[in-house]
Amino acid sequence: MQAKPSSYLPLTEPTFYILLSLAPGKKHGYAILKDVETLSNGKVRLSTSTLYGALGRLLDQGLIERVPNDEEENTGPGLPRKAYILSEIGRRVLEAETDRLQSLVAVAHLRLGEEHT
Amino acid sequence: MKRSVQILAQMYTRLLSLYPQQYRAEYGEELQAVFSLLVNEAAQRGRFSVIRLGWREMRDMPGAVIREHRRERRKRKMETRTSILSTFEPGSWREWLAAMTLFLLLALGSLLSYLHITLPLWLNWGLFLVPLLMFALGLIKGLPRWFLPYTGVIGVPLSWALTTRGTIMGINTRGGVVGSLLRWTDRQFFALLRPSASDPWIVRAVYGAGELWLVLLGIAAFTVLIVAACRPLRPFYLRLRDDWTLLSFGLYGAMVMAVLMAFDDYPHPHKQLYIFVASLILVAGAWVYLRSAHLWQRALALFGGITLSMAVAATGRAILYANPLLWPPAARGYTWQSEALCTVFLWGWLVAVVMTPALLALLPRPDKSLQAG
Repeated sequence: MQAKPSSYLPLTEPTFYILLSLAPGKKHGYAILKDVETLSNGKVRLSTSTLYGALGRLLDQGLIERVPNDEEENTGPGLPRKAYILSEIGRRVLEAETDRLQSLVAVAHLRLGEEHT
Repeated sequence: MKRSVQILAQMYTRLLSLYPQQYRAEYGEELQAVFSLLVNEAAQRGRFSVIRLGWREMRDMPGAVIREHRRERRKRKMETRTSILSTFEPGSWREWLAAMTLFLLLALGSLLSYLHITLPLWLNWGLFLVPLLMFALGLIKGLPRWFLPYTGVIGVPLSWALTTRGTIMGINTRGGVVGSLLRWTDRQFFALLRPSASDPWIVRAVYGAGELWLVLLGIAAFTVLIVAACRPLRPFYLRLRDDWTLLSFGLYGAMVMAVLMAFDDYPHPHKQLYIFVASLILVAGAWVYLRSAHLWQRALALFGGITLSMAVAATGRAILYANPLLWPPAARGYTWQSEALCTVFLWGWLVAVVMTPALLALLPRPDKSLQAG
Protein backbone atom coordinates (compact mmCIF):
# COMPACT_ATOMS: atom_id res chain seq x y z
CA MET A 1 0.00 0.00 0.00
CA GLN A 2 1.25 3.46 -0.87
CA ALA A 3 1.26 6.23 1.71
CA LYS A 4 -1.31 9.00 1.40
CA PRO A 5 -0.39 11.81 -1.01
CA SER A 6 -0.60 14.34 1.82
CA SER A 7 2.23 12.57 3.65
CA TYR A 8 4.66 13.71 0.89
CA LEU A 9 3.74 17.37 1.25
CA PRO A 10 4.96 20.06 1.15
CA LEU A 11 7.20 19.56 -1.89
CA THR A 12 10.33 21.58 -2.43
CA GLU A 13 10.27 23.96 -5.37
CA PRO A 14 12.58 21.84 -7.61
CA THR A 15 10.62 18.68 -6.79
CA PHE A 16 7.34 20.38 -7.62
CA TYR A 17 8.70 21.60 -10.95
CA ILE A 18 10.16 18.18 -11.79
CA LEU A 19 6.83 16.45 -11.16
CA LEU A 20 5.03 19.18 -13.06
CA SER A 21 7.41 18.76 -15.95
CA LEU A 22 6.58 15.06 -16.10
CA ALA A 23 2.82 15.64 -15.93
CA PRO A 24 2.27 15.67 -19.72
CA GLY A 25 4.33 12.52 -20.26
CA LYS A 26 7.68 10.77 -20.43
CA LYS A 27 10.85 12.92 -20.41
CA HIS A 28 14.58 12.33 -20.17
CA GLY A 29 16.84 14.24 -17.77
CA TYR A 30 17.88 16.97 -20.21
CA ALA A 31 14.29 17.64 -21.27
CA ILE A 32 13.26 17.90 -17.61
CA LEU A 33 16.02 20.44 -16.92
CA LYS A 34 14.95 22.60 -19.84
CA ASP A 35 11.27 22.29 -19.00
CA VAL A 36 11.83 23.24 -15.34
CA GLU A 37 13.69 26.32 -16.53
CA THR A 38 10.81 27.24 -18.84
CA LEU A 39 8.10 26.54 -16.26
CA SER A 40 9.82 28.72 -13.68
CA ASN A 41 10.56 31.52 -16.15
CA GLY A 42 14.26 30.86 -15.75
CA LYS A 43 14.16 31.24 -11.98
CA VAL A 44 14.92 27.59 -11.23
CA ARG A 45 17.99 26.29 -13.05
CA LEU A 46 18.85 22.86 -11.80
CA SER A 47 22.33 21.44 -11.91
CA THR A 48 22.69 17.83 -13.05
CA SER A 49 23.55 16.73 -9.51
CA THR A 50 20.46 18.40 -8.04
CA LEU A 51 18.26 16.97 -10.79
CA TYR A 52 19.48 13.40 -10.44
CA GLY A 53 19.50 13.61 -6.64
CA ALA A 54 15.83 14.62 -6.79
CA LEU A 55 15.03 11.97 -9.42
CA GLY A 56 16.67 9.29 -7.25
CA ARG A 57 14.61 10.33 -4.23
CA LEU A 58 11.41 10.44 -6.26
CA LEU A 59 12.15 6.98 -7.63
CA ASP A 60 12.72 5.65 -4.10
CA GLN A 61 9.43 7.18 -3.01
CA GLY A 62 7.66 5.67 -6.00
CA LEU A 63 6.44 9.04 -7.26
CA ILE A 64 8.10 8.54 -10.63
CA GLU A 65 9.22 5.56 -12.69
CA ARG A 66 12.27 5.03 -14.86
CA VAL A 67 11.60 3.69 -18.33
CA PRO A 68 13.62 3.22 -21.53
CA ASN A 69 13.81 6.37 -23.61
CA ASP A 70 12.52 4.88 -26.82
CA GLU A 71 10.23 7.52 -28.31
CA GLU A 72 11.39 8.86 -31.65
CA GLU A 73 11.44 12.53 -30.75
CA ASN A 74 13.41 11.80 -27.58
CA THR A 75 16.04 9.58 -29.08
CA GLY A 76 19.14 10.75 -30.80
CA PRO A 77 22.90 10.77 -30.50
CA GLY A 78 24.04 11.98 -27.09
CA LEU A 79 20.57 11.88 -25.54
CA PRO A 80 20.08 9.91 -22.31
CA ARG A 81 18.81 6.38 -22.83
CA LYS A 82 16.50 6.48 -19.84
CA ALA A 83 13.40 8.57 -19.32
CA TYR A 84 11.07 9.25 -16.41
CA ILE A 85 7.33 9.15 -16.07
CA LEU A 86 4.97 10.18 -13.32
CA SER A 87 3.49 7.27 -11.36
CA GLU A 88 -0.13 7.20 -10.26
CA ILE A 89 0.77 8.21 -6.71
CA GLY A 90 3.15 10.86 -8.11
CA ARG A 91 0.30 12.41 -10.06
CA ARG A 92 -1.89 12.44 -6.96
CA VAL A 93 0.92 14.03 -4.92
CA LEU A 94 1.30 16.71 -7.59
CA GLU A 95 -2.43 17.37 -7.55
CA ALA A 96 -2.47 17.47 -3.75
CA GLU A 97 0.43 19.95 -3.69
CA THR A 98 -1.29 22.10 -6.33
CA ASP A 99 -4.45 22.14 -4.21
CA ARG A 100 -2.39 23.03 -1.14
CA LEU A 101 -0.67 25.90 -2.92
CA GLN A 102 -3.98 27.07 -4.37
CA SER A 103 -5.60 27.23 -0.95
CA LEU A 104 -2.55 29.09 0.40
CA VAL A 105 -2.80 31.64 -2.38
CA ALA A 106 -6.57 31.93 -1.95
CA VAL A 107 -6.32 32.61 1.77
CA ALA A 108 -3.49 35.08 1.20
CA HIS A 109 -5.55 36.94 -1.43
CA LEU A 110 -8.50 37.00 0.91
CA ARG A 111 -6.50 38.46 3.78
CA LEU A 112 -4.62 40.94 1.62
CA GLY A 113 -7.91 41.96 -0.02
CA GLU A 114 -9.39 42.59 3.44
CA GLU A 115 -6.44 44.82 4.33
CA HIS A 116 -6.82 46.88 1.16
CA THR A 117 -10.56 47.51 1.66
CA MET B 1 36.07 27.24 -26.99
CA LYS B 2 35.72 23.68 -28.21
CA ARG B 3 38.85 22.78 -26.24
CA SER B 4 37.50 24.30 -22.99
CA VAL B 5 34.20 22.44 -23.48
CA GLN B 6 36.15 19.19 -23.82
CA ILE B 7 38.18 19.94 -20.69
CA LEU B 8 35.02 20.75 -18.73
CA ALA B 9 33.37 17.50 -19.90
CA GLN B 10 36.47 15.52 -18.91
CA MET B 11 36.60 17.21 -15.52
CA TYR B 12 32.95 16.41 -14.99
CA THR B 13 33.55 12.74 -15.84
CA ARG B 14 36.45 12.61 -13.38
CA LEU B 15 34.36 14.24 -10.66
CA LEU B 16 31.63 11.66 -11.13
CA SER B 17 33.98 9.15 -9.53
CA LEU B 18 33.29 10.92 -6.21
CA TYR B 19 29.76 9.50 -6.22
CA PRO B 20 29.10 6.06 -4.72
CA GLN B 21 29.80 3.19 -7.09
CA GLN B 22 26.22 1.98 -7.27
CA TYR B 23 24.98 5.50 -8.00
CA ARG B 24 27.54 5.85 -10.77
CA ALA B 25 26.47 2.56 -12.29
CA GLU B 26 22.85 3.68 -12.15
CA TYR B 27 23.08 7.31 -13.29
CA GLY B 28 26.67 7.92 -14.42
CA GLU B 29 25.96 7.57 -18.11
CA GLU B 30 22.86 9.75 -17.93
CA LEU B 31 24.65 12.45 -15.93
CA GLN B 32 27.40 12.58 -18.52
CA ALA B 33 24.96 12.69 -21.43
CA VAL B 34 22.91 15.50 -19.88
CA PHE B 35 26.00 17.47 -18.93
CA SER B 36 27.42 17.14 -22.45
CA LEU B 37 24.19 18.49 -23.92
CA LEU B 38 24.16 21.35 -21.42
CA VAL B 39 27.79 22.30 -21.99
CA ASN B 40 27.41 22.24 -25.78
CA GLU B 41 24.33 24.41 -25.55
CA ALA B 42 26.10 26.84 -23.20
CA ALA B 43 29.10 26.99 -25.55
CA GLN B 44 26.84 28.15 -28.35
CA ARG B 45 25.61 31.00 -26.13
CA GLY B 46 29.11 32.09 -25.21
CA ARG B 47 31.93 31.85 -22.70
CA PHE B 48 29.92 33.43 -19.89
CA SER B 49 27.21 30.77 -20.16
CA VAL B 50 29.82 28.02 -19.93
CA ILE B 51 31.34 29.60 -16.81
CA ARG B 52 27.88 29.94 -15.25
CA LEU B 53 27.09 26.30 -15.99
CA GLY B 54 30.45 25.17 -14.59
CA TRP B 55 29.92 27.23 -11.46
CA ARG B 56 26.39 25.82 -10.93
CA GLU B 57 27.64 22.27 -11.25
CA MET B 58 30.67 22.79 -8.99
CA ARG B 59 28.52 24.54 -6.38
CA ASP B 60 25.93 21.75 -6.15
CA MET B 61 28.14 18.72 -6.60
CA PRO B 62 29.83 18.48 -3.14
CA GLY B 63 26.48 18.51 -1.33
CA ALA B 64 25.03 16.00 -3.79
CA VAL B 65 28.01 13.67 -3.40
CA ILE B 66 27.67 13.70 0.41
CA ARG B 67 23.90 13.16 0.17
CA GLU B 68 24.30 10.21 -2.19
CA HIS B 69 26.92 8.57 0.00
CA ARG B 70 24.64 8.96 3.00
CA ARG B 71 21.68 7.60 1.03
CA GLU B 72 23.74 4.66 -0.16
CA ARG B 73 24.80 3.88 3.41
CA ARG B 74 21.22 4.15 4.62
CA LYS B 75 20.07 1.80 1.87
CA ARG B 76 22.74 -0.73 2.76
CA LYS B 77 21.76 -0.49 6.41
CA MET B 78 18.12 -1.01 5.52
CA GLU B 79 19.01 -4.04 3.46
CA THR B 80 21.07 -5.66 6.18
CA ARG B 81 19.12 -4.55 9.21
CA THR B 82 15.53 -3.65 8.57
CA SER B 83 14.57 -5.48 5.45
CA ILE B 84 13.44 -8.98 5.94
CA LEU B 85 12.53 -9.31 2.40
CA SER B 86 16.04 -8.79 1.12
CA THR B 87 17.67 -11.15 3.60
CA PHE B 88 15.12 -13.88 3.14
CA GLU B 89 13.05 -13.63 0.02
CA PRO B 90 9.33 -13.93 0.77
CA GLY B 91 8.53 -17.60 0.72
CA SER B 92 12.18 -18.67 0.42
CA TRP B 93 13.25 -21.82 2.25
CA ARG B 94 15.50 -19.82 4.57
CA GLU B 95 12.66 -17.57 5.69
CA TRP B 96 10.45 -20.63 6.01
CA LEU B 97 12.99 -22.49 8.13
CA ALA B 98 13.62 -19.50 10.38
CA ALA B 99 9.89 -19.05 11.05
CA MET B 100 9.12 -22.76 11.26
CA THR B 101 11.83 -23.55 13.81
CA LEU B 102 9.44 -22.47 16.57
CA PHE B 103 6.65 -24.82 15.49
CA LEU B 104 9.05 -27.59 14.47
CA LEU B 105 10.62 -27.51 17.94
CA LEU B 106 7.19 -28.18 19.43
CA ALA B 107 6.69 -31.04 16.97
CA LEU B 108 10.13 -32.46 17.72
CA GLY B 109 9.71 -32.13 21.50
CA SER B 110 6.31 -33.83 21.50
CA LEU B 111 7.47 -36.61 19.20
CA LEU B 112 10.53 -37.36 21.34
CA SER B 113 8.39 -37.32 24.45
CA TYR B 114 5.84 -39.65 22.84
CA LEU B 115 8.60 -42.06 21.84
CA HIS B 116 10.04 -41.86 25.39
CA ILE B 117 13.35 -40.58 24.09
CA THR B 118 15.08 -38.58 26.77
CA LEU B 119 17.58 -36.01 25.63
CA PRO B 120 20.62 -35.06 27.70
CA LEU B 121 19.91 -32.12 29.97
CA TRP B 122 22.20 -29.76 28.07
CA LEU B 123 20.42 -30.54 24.80
CA ASN B 124 17.04 -30.02 26.42
CA TRP B 125 18.15 -26.60 27.60
CA GLY B 126 19.66 -25.94 24.20
CA LEU B 127 16.33 -26.61 22.49
CA PHE B 128 14.57 -24.48 25.08
CA LEU B 129 16.94 -21.61 24.36
CA VAL B 130 16.50 -21.79 20.57
CA PRO B 131 13.30 -19.64 20.50
CA LEU B 132 15.00 -17.09 22.75
CA LEU B 133 18.05 -17.02 20.50
CA MET B 134 15.86 -16.67 17.40
CA PHE B 135 14.01 -13.84 19.12
CA ALA B 136 17.28 -12.07 19.88
CA LEU B 137 18.52 -12.69 16.33
CA GLY B 138 15.31 -11.24 14.94
CA LEU B 139 15.78 -8.09 17.01
CA ILE B 140 19.34 -7.71 15.70
CA LYS B 141 18.23 -8.39 12.12
CA GLY B 142 15.64 -5.60 12.29
CA LEU B 143 12.37 -7.37 13.05
CA PRO B 144 12.07 -9.59 9.99
CA ARG B 145 8.90 -11.44 9.07
CA TRP B 146 10.16 -14.83 10.23
CA PHE B 147 10.86 -13.36 13.68
CA LEU B 148 7.25 -12.36 14.35
CA PRO B 149 5.92 -15.71 15.70
CA TYR B 150 8.69 -15.60 18.31
CA THR B 151 7.21 -12.37 19.67
CA GLY B 152 3.91 -14.18 20.19
CA VAL B 153 5.49 -17.00 22.10
CA ILE B 154 7.49 -14.55 24.24
CA GLY B 155 4.33 -12.51 24.86
CA VAL B 156 2.50 -15.40 26.52
CA PRO B 157 4.67 -15.52 29.69
CA LEU B 158 4.24 -11.75 29.96
CA SER B 159 0.50 -12.10 29.72
CA TRP B 160 0.67 -14.96 32.18
CA ALA B 161 2.59 -12.84 34.67
CA LEU B 162 -0.11 -10.17 34.41
CA THR B 163 -2.99 -12.56 34.89
CA THR B 164 -1.59 -15.20 37.24
CA ARG B 165 -2.11 -14.51 40.91
CA GLY B 166 0.73 -16.58 42.31
CA THR B 167 3.86 -18.18 41.01
CA ILE B 168 5.15 -19.14 37.58
CA MET B 169 7.76 -21.88 37.57
CA GLY B 170 8.51 -21.11 41.20
CA ILE B 171 8.90 -17.36 40.61
CA ASN B 172 6.60 -15.25 42.73
CA THR B 173 4.87 -12.87 40.33
CA ARG B 174 3.35 -10.91 43.17
CA GLY B 175 6.53 -9.94 45.02
CA GLY B 176 8.53 -6.72 44.92
CA VAL B 177 7.62 -3.50 43.09
CA VAL B 178 6.43 -5.31 39.96
CA GLY B 179 4.32 -7.58 42.16
CA SER B 180 2.71 -4.55 43.83
CA LEU B 181 1.91 -3.13 40.42
CA LEU B 182 0.45 -6.44 39.31
CA ARG B 183 -1.64 -6.69 42.49
CA TRP B 184 -2.93 -3.20 41.87
CA THR B 185 -3.81 -4.06 38.22
CA ASP B 186 -5.49 -7.19 39.45
CA ARG B 187 -7.64 -5.29 41.93
CA GLN B 188 -8.47 -2.46 39.55
CA PHE B 189 -9.09 -4.44 36.41
CA PHE B 190 -9.18 -8.23 36.45
CA ALA B 191 -11.04 -8.53 39.75
CA LEU B 192 -13.92 -6.60 38.18
CA LEU B 193 -14.06 -8.89 35.17
CA ARG B 194 -13.37 -12.25 36.77
CA PRO B 195 -16.49 -14.33 37.42
CA SER B 196 -16.93 -15.52 40.99
CA ALA B 197 -17.19 -19.15 42.11
CA SER B 198 -20.96 -18.79 42.33
CA ASP B 199 -21.26 -17.91 38.62
CA PRO B 200 -22.40 -20.69 36.25
CA TRP B 201 -19.68 -23.08 35.05
CA ILE B 202 -20.01 -21.97 31.45
CA VAL B 203 -19.35 -18.31 32.34
CA ARG B 204 -16.26 -19.30 34.31
CA ALA B 205 -15.10 -21.60 31.53
CA VAL B 206 -15.51 -18.97 28.81
CA TYR B 207 -13.72 -16.32 30.85
CA GLY B 208 -11.04 -18.74 32.03
CA ALA B 209 -10.23 -19.72 28.45
CA GLY B 210 -9.87 -16.13 27.29
CA GLU B 211 -8.22 -13.98 29.98
CA LEU B 212 -4.66 -14.86 29.06
CA TRP B 213 -5.21 -14.27 25.32
CA LEU B 214 -7.11 -11.03 25.75
CA VAL B 215 -4.24 -9.66 27.82
CA LEU B 216 -1.86 -10.88 25.12
CA LEU B 217 -3.81 -8.84 22.56
CA GLY B 218 -3.55 -5.87 24.92
CA ILE B 219 0.23 -6.36 25.14
CA ALA B 220 0.40 -6.56 21.33
CA ALA B 221 -1.62 -3.34 20.97
CA PHE B 222 0.58 -1.61 23.54
CA THR B 223 3.71 -2.79 21.71
CA VAL B 224 2.36 -1.44 18.42
CA LEU B 225 1.77 1.95 20.07
CA ILE B 226 5.35 1.99 21.34
CA VAL B 227 6.66 0.97 17.90
CA ALA B 228 4.60 3.74 16.28
CA ALA B 229 5.89 6.33 18.73
CA CYS B 230 9.53 5.23 18.57
CA ARG B 231 11.21 6.85 15.59
CA PRO B 232 13.85 4.17 14.85
CA LEU B 233 11.08 1.56 14.80
CA ARG B 234 8.87 3.61 12.50
CA PRO B 235 9.70 1.59 9.34
CA PHE B 236 8.48 -1.52 11.12
CA TYR B 237 5.27 0.26 12.12
CA LEU B 238 4.71 1.37 8.53
CA ARG B 239 5.13 -2.24 7.42
CA LEU B 240 2.58 -3.33 10.00
CA ARG B 241 0.19 -0.64 8.81
CA ASP B 242 0.60 -1.91 5.28
CA ASP B 243 -0.14 -5.45 6.30
CA TRP B 244 -1.80 -6.00 9.66
CA THR B 245 -1.69 -9.77 9.08
CA LEU B 246 1.96 -9.46 10.18
CA LEU B 247 0.71 -8.72 13.69
CA SER B 248 -1.62 -11.72 13.43
CA PHE B 249 1.34 -13.81 12.35
CA GLY B 250 3.18 -12.63 15.47
CA LEU B 251 0.24 -13.62 17.65
CA TYR B 252 0.04 -16.93 15.78
CA GLY B 253 3.34 -17.84 17.45
CA ALA B 254 1.44 -17.94 20.75
CA MET B 255 -0.39 -20.97 19.36
CA VAL B 256 2.59 -23.05 20.45
CA MET B 257 1.76 -22.18 24.04
CA ALA B 258 -1.98 -22.57 23.43
CA VAL B 259 -1.51 -26.15 22.21
CA LEU B 260 0.72 -26.98 25.18
CA MET B 261 -1.70 -25.37 27.61
CA ALA B 262 -4.67 -27.21 26.14
CA PHE B 263 -3.10 -30.40 27.48
CA ASP B 264 -1.58 -28.82 30.58
CA ASP B 265 -3.44 -30.97 33.13
CA TYR B 266 -3.21 -34.14 31.08
CA PRO B 267 -0.60 -36.44 32.57
CA HIS B 268 -0.73 -39.24 30.00
CA PRO B 269 2.05 -39.35 27.36
CA HIS B 270 -0.54 -40.05 24.66
CA LYS B 271 -1.26 -36.33 24.67
CA GLN B 272 2.09 -35.84 22.91
CA LEU B 273 0.70 -37.45 19.78
CA TYR B 274 -2.06 -34.84 19.57
CA ILE B 275 0.41 -32.05 20.32
CA PHE B 276 2.62 -33.40 17.53
CA VAL B 277 -0.24 -33.41 14.99
CA ALA B 278 -1.43 -29.96 16.12
CA SER B 279 2.09 -28.55 15.77
CA LEU B 280 2.39 -29.95 12.23
CA ILE B 281 -0.88 -28.19 11.39
CA LEU B 282 0.57 -24.98 12.81
CA VAL B 283 3.63 -25.48 10.59
CA ALA B 284 1.35 -25.88 7.57
CA GLY B 285 -0.62 -22.73 8.49
CA ALA B 286 2.55 -20.68 8.84
CA TRP B 287 3.94 -22.12 5.60
CA VAL B 288 0.83 -21.17 3.65
CA TYR B 289 0.94 -17.73 5.29
CA LEU B 290 4.51 -17.13 4.14
CA ARG B 291 3.77 -18.36 0.62
CA SER B 292 0.53 -16.41 0.11
CA ALA B 293 0.48 -13.25 -1.94
CA HIS B 294 -2.96 -11.93 -1.01
CA LEU B 295 -4.05 -10.58 2.35
CA TRP B 296 -7.16 -12.77 2.47
CA GLN B 297 -5.08 -15.86 1.73
CA ARG B 298 -2.71 -15.00 4.56
CA ALA B 299 -5.60 -14.39 6.96
CA LEU B 300 -7.22 -17.67 5.89
CA ALA B 301 -3.94 -19.57 6.39
CA LEU B 302 -3.73 -18.39 10.00
CA PHE B 303 -7.41 -19.06 10.62
CA GLY B 304 -7.01 -22.56 9.18
CA GLY B 305 -3.93 -23.25 11.32
CA ILE B 306 -5.68 -22.16 14.53
CA THR B 307 -8.93 -23.97 13.77
CA LEU B 308 -7.47 -27.29 12.71
CA SER B 309 -4.86 -27.42 15.48
CA MET B 310 -7.53 -26.64 18.08
CA ALA B 311 -9.83 -29.25 16.51
CA VAL B 312 -7.08 -31.81 17.06
CA ALA B 313 -6.62 -30.56 20.64
CA ALA B 314 -10.38 -30.75 21.36
CA THR B 315 -10.60 -34.26 19.90
CA GLY B 316 -7.50 -35.35 21.81
CA ARG B 317 -8.79 -33.99 25.09
CA ALA B 318 -12.17 -35.63 24.64
CA ILE B 319 -10.67 -39.01 23.71
CA LEU B 320 -8.08 -39.00 26.49
CA TYR B 321 -10.56 -37.87 29.10
CA ALA B 322 -13.21 -40.39 28.08
CA ASN B 323 -10.81 -43.35 28.11
CA PRO B 324 -11.31 -45.19 31.42
CA LEU B 325 -7.87 -46.77 31.09
CA LEU B 326 -6.16 -43.42 30.85
CA TRP B 327 -8.39 -41.49 33.22
CA PRO B 328 -10.27 -43.44 35.87
CA PRO B 329 -13.89 -42.22 36.13
CA ALA B 330 -13.48 -41.71 39.88
CA ALA B 331 -10.73 -39.15 39.28
CA ARG B 332 -12.77 -37.10 36.83
CA GLY B 333 -14.18 -33.79 37.90
CA TYR B 334 -15.70 -32.97 34.51
CA THR B 335 -16.96 -34.82 31.43
CA TRP B 336 -15.27 -35.39 28.09
CA GLN B 337 -17.85 -33.09 26.56
CA SER B 338 -16.92 -30.25 28.92
CA GLU B 339 -13.23 -30.84 28.17
CA ALA B 340 -13.86 -30.58 24.44
CA LEU B 341 -16.09 -27.55 24.98
CA CYS B 342 -13.37 -25.76 26.96
CA THR B 343 -11.05 -26.24 23.96
CA VAL B 344 -13.74 -24.84 21.70
CA PHE B 345 -13.92 -21.76 23.94
CA LEU B 346 -10.14 -21.51 23.77
CA TRP B 347 -10.35 -21.73 19.96
CA GLY B 348 -12.95 -18.94 19.94
CA TRP B 349 -10.71 -16.66 21.97
CA LEU B 350 -7.63 -17.49 19.92
CA VAL B 351 -9.44 -16.78 16.67
CA ALA B 352 -10.73 -13.48 18.09
CA VAL B 353 -7.30 -12.43 19.35
CA VAL B 354 -5.10 -13.61 16.47
CA MET B 355 -7.50 -12.64 13.71
CA THR B 356 -8.37 -9.13 14.98
CA PRO B 357 -5.33 -7.49 13.30
CA ALA B 358 -5.89 -9.58 10.17
CA LEU B 359 -9.44 -8.27 9.97
CA LEU B 360 -8.01 -4.75 10.09
CA ALA B 361 -5.93 -5.71 7.05
CA LEU B 362 -9.00 -6.89 5.19
CA LEU B 363 -10.95 -3.69 5.83
CA PRO B 364 -11.21 -1.39 2.80
CA ARG B 365 -8.36 1.14 2.72
CA PRO B 366 -9.09 4.86 2.52
CA ASP B 367 -6.28 5.09 -0.04
CA LYS B 368 -8.03 2.66 -2.33
CA SER B 369 -11.20 4.72 -2.30
CA LEU B 370 -9.08 7.77 -3.10
CA GLN B 371 -7.60 5.91 -6.06
CA ALA B 372 -11.06 5.00 -7.25
CA GLY B 373 -12.02 8.65 -6.96
